[in-house]
Amino acid sequence: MDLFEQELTRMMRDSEEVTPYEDRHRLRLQAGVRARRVTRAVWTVTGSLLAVAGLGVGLMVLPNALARGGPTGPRPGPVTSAESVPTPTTVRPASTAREMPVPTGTSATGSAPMPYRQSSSQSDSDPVHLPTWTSTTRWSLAPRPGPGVPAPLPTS
Amino acid sequence: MGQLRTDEFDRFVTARWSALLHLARLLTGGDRHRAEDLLQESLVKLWFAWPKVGEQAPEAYVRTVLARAAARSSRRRWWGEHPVDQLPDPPQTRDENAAVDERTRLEAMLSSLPARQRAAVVLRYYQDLPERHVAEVLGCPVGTARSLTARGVARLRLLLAAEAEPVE
Repeated sequence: MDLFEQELTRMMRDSEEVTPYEDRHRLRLQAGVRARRVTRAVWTVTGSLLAVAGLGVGLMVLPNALARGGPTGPRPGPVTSAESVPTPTTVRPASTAREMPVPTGTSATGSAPMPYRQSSSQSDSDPVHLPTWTSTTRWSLAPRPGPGVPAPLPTS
Repeated sequence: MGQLRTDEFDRFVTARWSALLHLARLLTGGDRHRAEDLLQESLVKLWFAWPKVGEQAPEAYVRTVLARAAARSSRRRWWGEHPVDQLPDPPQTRDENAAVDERTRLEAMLSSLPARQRAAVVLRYYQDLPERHVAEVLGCPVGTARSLTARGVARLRLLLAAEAEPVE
């Protein structure tokens, strides 16, 4: 510690004033303690209420979620036991047949999408409209029709 | 039990108020009102921690709370200084005025330091804590505490040298 540091230490210590602990300090300290106690109580009550509310919501939501989640749980086995059926892949439960339709092409419902295009393109439910002519250059080579002349129909 | 706690706490605060207020004042760079606020907040925290630290080291607890709060603070005091044509004559004898003048000078120099440097310097030189303890109180590595102290002292040295230079 050099001279300057010693002088700094002395200045810091000598500059201390004797300040008595007065009643106003005591009263202010007590008021601070009371305020902090109230703040802590409010925080505790708020936290407890939030915890209870969260628990209540969880208890209300959980049974509904469990009730809705029934099919996602372990499925009931087939009517016949596994020992009696040597090849379980050939035997499908009725529920799986609804989930994955077999692409037979003979379904009359029309609601399930077909995995392949049918040969007949005249169906109204066909989402893709194929052009009925083969080349578009015929439009550019043909003479423009006049106002009274009907446009030539494209040949298929 | 509650009355015993209150009595012990009150005895401690009464005995150490003056020293703790001076520490707070140095840590705030001489801001008396802010020092009182800081000390009050620290003592309120001490009251709630009293069952744990009351019989061990309550003063160290208050010192830590004070130093960390002061080091976090970025508020600076404006000293209300105005330029004058002639500097007042320096005191020739060491009397009460000289002591007040020296304290004012010290607090003005300390207030020009950044808060963390000031806290490190005060803890190191006023509280006479080793660097390891300064680091613990400030919650930083020892190297950081050493660097803060060294930079703070270097700045004070410059300020004092500039103050000692004759004004033309």
